Amino acid sequence: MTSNLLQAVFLGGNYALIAVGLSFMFSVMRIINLAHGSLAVLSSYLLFVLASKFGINPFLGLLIVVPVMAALGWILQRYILDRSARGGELLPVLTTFGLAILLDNLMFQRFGADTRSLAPYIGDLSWDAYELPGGFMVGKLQILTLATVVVIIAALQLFLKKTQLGRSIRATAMDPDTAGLVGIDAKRASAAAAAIALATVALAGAFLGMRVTFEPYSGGMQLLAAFEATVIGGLGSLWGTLLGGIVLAVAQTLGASIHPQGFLLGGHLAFLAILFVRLLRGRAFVSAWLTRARA
Amino acid sequence: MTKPYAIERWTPASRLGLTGIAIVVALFGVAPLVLKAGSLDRLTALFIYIMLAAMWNALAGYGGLVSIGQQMFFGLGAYVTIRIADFGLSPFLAIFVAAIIVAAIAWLLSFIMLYLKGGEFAIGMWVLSAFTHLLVNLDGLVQGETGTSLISMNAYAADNRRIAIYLVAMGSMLMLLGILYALLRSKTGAAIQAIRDNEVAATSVGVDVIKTKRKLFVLAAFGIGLAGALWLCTALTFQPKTYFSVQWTAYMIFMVLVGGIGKFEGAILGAVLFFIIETWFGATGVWYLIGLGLAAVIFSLYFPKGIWGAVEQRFGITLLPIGYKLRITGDET
Amino acid sequence: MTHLTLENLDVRHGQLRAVKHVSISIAKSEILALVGANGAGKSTLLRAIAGAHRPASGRIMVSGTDITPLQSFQRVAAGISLVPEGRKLFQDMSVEENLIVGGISARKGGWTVAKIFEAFPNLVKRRHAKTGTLSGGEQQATAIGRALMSNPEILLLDEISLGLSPAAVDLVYASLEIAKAGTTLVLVEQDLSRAMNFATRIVCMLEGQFVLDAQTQDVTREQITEAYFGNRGRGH
Repeated sequence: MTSNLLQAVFLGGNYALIAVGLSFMFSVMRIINLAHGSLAVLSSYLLFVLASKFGINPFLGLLIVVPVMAALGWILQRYILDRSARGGELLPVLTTFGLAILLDNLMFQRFGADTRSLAPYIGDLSWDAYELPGGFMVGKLQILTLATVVVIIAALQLFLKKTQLGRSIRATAMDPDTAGLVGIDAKRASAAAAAIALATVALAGAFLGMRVTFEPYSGGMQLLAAFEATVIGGLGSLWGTLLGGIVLAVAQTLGASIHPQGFLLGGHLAFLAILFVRLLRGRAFVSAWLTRARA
Repeated sequence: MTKPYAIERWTPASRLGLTGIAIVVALFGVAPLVLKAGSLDRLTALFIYIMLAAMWNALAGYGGLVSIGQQMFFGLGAYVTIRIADFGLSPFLAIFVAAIIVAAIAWLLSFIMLYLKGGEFAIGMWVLSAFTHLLVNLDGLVQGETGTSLISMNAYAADNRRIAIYLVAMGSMLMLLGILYALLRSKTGAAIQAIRDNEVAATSVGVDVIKTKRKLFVLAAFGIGLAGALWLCTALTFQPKTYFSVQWTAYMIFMVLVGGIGKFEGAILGAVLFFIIETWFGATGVWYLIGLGLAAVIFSLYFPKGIWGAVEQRFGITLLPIGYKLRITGDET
Repeated sequence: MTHLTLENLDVRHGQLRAVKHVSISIAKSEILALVGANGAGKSTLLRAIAGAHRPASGRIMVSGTDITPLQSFQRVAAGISLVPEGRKLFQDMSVEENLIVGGISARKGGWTVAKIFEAFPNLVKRRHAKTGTLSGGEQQATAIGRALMSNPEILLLDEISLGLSPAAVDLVYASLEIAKAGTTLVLVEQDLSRAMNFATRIVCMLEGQFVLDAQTQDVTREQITEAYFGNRGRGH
């Protein structure tokens, strides 16, 4: 069991990696991007094509795919999300959901229903493991994933705190109107934030493809995992996504130990339980409920 | 002294609309006498699409609640029907009992879910749907993803069954549209309008926002549950994966977005358009789905009021008036 | 020399015409106080000059250049800076960070973070505090400091004494004495005595229009009060 829980912590790193971009985008633009998972799967496919057609190792492939996805993020924000967000808070949900359907089916059209994996292209990294003190085995890839997400979150925090662009993004997130009045190009800051978010999505897609197989419709499950990790960790908090990812993975592991089909159930249950507790603690909810009870 | 204006609900266009609707309903009513089996099945599908579109519109267009998890109620409607029919209840009764049970489940869920905001509610519902799907898979009767079928339907001869399902589907559709229409024209309708204009202001003038949204949430669950149960009646087989697929919500969103979100007639128009598109292009498989996704993106960005919204704005036509129309009859002075 | 010119400026909030056909020329280094009742359109006018509201028609010129098409952030680079009503600080940032953010589109000029702390000594000990924890006076000082960081030629100040104790208002105005050197100032001020003491020119707004425009020394308190309440006063 201890070994399983340790594995779960590393699995949580994967969830955190996919959640970081979703959380970051939400905290700046107040948009939950429903195409987030599909974009991660798109990155996996791009790396797969580079590896299978051109023999480019996925880690080298990231040198291409990260900038490509970042550019896509910029364009997405500038030409689609910005316009959509001006129509109210509900419209981006519809736009990005439409985008997810579009992407998933385009990938299906292009790549077919076969499941793919990046594992064959990364050598012994896909199966090799380290033995930790106490006899626990942890995969090299899992360690690399967790290390990557920690570095990304730390780097993002530093970037947001110490650079002009980072401060511009924070100011825009807090109050876009006032940001403009103090001389910040809020649209540019948002586009930069979207580019950064999609750069992390490219990395998430890479590790997804190395760890498990993927197919054109894998995006939905990725989105759900990312969303659950984000909400558990506190919407918009970057270190929170790491905690959220780990809690999600631990809950899944516990679920699986109770029932053979309990893996995903355990994760969803943890998410719903945390949601419920948080709402119960929220004053608006309790007072509304009490007023009704008294009436 | 005469007032320089008149407040009216029924305009000439809407009276004409009402007559048209009566004729269409009558035609649909006699259709089983003339139509072939295949066409009848397709029309049953159309009725189910209209139910789905109207219910998703009730939720999003009137309640401001965009959900990506409505497939949960569709799947639950079918599943509960299977369960109840297994106890020996006639499938034609089971579908209505199932819809009521689904509505009760939604009523319970509303105490948590309605406190989520915007996108959180949208994906939160999706998570809930995925969760429910997994729970249904655990039921031995369903046998996981293998699924099962509505065996008791076989007690009816194929032709009679087809006509019966057709008529029940038509009746269900008319009932749901009627309930929604009545709700929108009742006091709740005024509350809905106030919330749509400004939620904070509505609260301050004493509108119970959550209670109003709850009515729509439960109604939508009831309608979509009924639609799922009816779909089961025509398809007979129940595989959880097909019923709990997010595709259903994608269809609902497409229909409402294209037809006109928040427009009573818009949702119906969207469902009819979807039905036509599916009939013509459904066979193209993936390209058809790509088209649906693209249409959703384009409509949400450039035509957020949908086709009916544009028609209404351009020509000022309302077939089924929900609000009142101010007609200037004389000079103001 | 004309520094800021408004030509037939019209600003709407939906159906409402908040500013109606307003024209004015403001000279360099002038200190103009906008007075008028709530809802007269003062804040809207300032926000339109700063680029937060698009005018429905009319032009805004700075030193003869038409800046009407520019967005708010571009107007900062063009030399206009607004201290918004309610201060609108970035709450999750420290005082210092707010100041640094104010300098993102800075023009050439003398203001640095260090200089701001010299001008507002009461902020020094709060340097790393989140602005949400500051007193009203400290918040106002930070907001003014943030605006100064862009080295504006034209500084717009919206209700800077609102909600502050008289002592805090004294401090804020004392520090504005340093800021006004070489800068054109337009301020919205509810306190008529303050406005008359500080400004060189007084403009009174009523229902979106200018109803009085006079040099401070040429106008009496009574004349302003009359204009304020709509008894169309005559300026000179």
